[in-house]
Amino acid sequence: MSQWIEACVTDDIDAEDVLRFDYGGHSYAVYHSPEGEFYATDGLCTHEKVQLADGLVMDNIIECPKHNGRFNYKTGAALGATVCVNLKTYPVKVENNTLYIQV
Amino acid sequence: MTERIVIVGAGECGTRAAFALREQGFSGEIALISEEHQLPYERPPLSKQALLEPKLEPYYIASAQQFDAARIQLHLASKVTAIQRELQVITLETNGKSQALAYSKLLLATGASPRKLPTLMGIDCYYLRTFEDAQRIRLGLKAGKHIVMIGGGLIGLELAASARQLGAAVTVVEADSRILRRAIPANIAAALAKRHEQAGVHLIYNGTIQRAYQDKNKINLVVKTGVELRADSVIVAIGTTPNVNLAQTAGLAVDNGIVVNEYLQTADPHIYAAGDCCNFLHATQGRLRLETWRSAQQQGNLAANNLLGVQQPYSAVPWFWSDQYELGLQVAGLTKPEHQRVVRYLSDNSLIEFELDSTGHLVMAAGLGVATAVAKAIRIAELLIAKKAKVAPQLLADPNLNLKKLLK
Repeated sequence: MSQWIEACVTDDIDAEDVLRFDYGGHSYAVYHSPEGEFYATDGLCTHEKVQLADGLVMDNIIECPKHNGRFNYKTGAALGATVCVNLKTYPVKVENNTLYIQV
Repeated sequence: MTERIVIVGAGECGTRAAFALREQGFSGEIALISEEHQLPYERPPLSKQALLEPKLEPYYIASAQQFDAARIQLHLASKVTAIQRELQVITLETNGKSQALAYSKLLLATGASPRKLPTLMGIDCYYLRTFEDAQRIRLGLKAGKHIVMIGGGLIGLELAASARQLGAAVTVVEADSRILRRAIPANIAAALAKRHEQAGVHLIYNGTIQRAYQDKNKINLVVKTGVELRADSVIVAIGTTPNVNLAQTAGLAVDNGIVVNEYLQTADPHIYAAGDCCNFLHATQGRLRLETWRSAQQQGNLAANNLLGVQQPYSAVPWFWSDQYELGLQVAGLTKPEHQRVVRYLSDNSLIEFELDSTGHLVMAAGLGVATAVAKAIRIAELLIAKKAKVAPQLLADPNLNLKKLLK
């Protein structure tokens, strides 16, 4: 059953950056795009279990902090070479400067 | 005749090149040749996390189905014994049977082999390169055993950390006055050495091995410092030598690796070399031979493009990582003694050490922190190095400054 979970205050994430959020033993990564929109994906890279929130966000792309696998964090699409399995994405909403993700 | 590209060596580099050829639309035959018996696998885990798993398993680069789908003919347990350059034919030996295989282009990705320590000739000691090596080493890594690691380089230190985590007593004997001189600057090395000592590793510096002898199941090592060590297992990790015999016999130039230009091409236009085995001309760094997973992968991709007629030079900033205990080390660029150094202290055992050249350009960044905590900063530094950015030392030293601002 899906539910909305409070992830963080929107100010916690700089524009074009990412933050780790753990809930129920699961890691998520929440993103603030350069255009000011928010997104959420699974927190661990699909290649080896590395925290994506330690990686660099450039435009729509999150880069794995270890092997440079790249994903489009808006769609979860894996962008080749080291990563070939897409990243799961989650719906988000902002209410009163608080970011919620649906898990 | 169908075009056929033959790749000798199925490590990270050769395997990546094979897949990249298909990704780039090459429709001819691809033969990928490996002396090993199993499907190509990743080597980095063999000194780190793979050893800590209850059962040591290879981390395969690709499955048999993926090789089939990409129409890559994998010749396992096979050795290339000769290259006849004028005929563009190699001699391939599999299970004692010899066959000739014609190539339109040839990629040598033969890798490197652990350097042997002459003092230990005739002594039972271990070297790490293959999965089988890791299996043999793994058997001795347990509580109650004393492991002596010769060499305080990346492989030696990763193995030391793994051995400690498995409960073995560990002594590391380093010939230099500090660990990792070639790879990382002094402050990072000191922080890492401290972590090893906290974990109970006994580090011996300036420790040349003078003599070794075996008695019963023990190996005794006499170190120049006067210490005598008694080990259950001795592991030697003192660097590698490139596998160049095949190229040398075929008359190709060899000088600490198979000599290639910036396009990874040898003097023979039909033959390329990439990965650990090659001495290449870096677009900005001069001649280099790199022995890292990242460069092996990048050079595999690049060689594939250039084999297909693209003329792209290798210009990537050298980069590597290491995992020891809970710590992750990441390094972009090459450390040199003459560089100016700036340290950014992040927390107790987390710091980044930057190096600037004489004209103030950022040229190297090494970071140490828990898991991938320093990854973002090192990735940004890598981009700044690639851009040939000049950065004020006080900005680099300030832990509150978001390095990403310097990229804009």
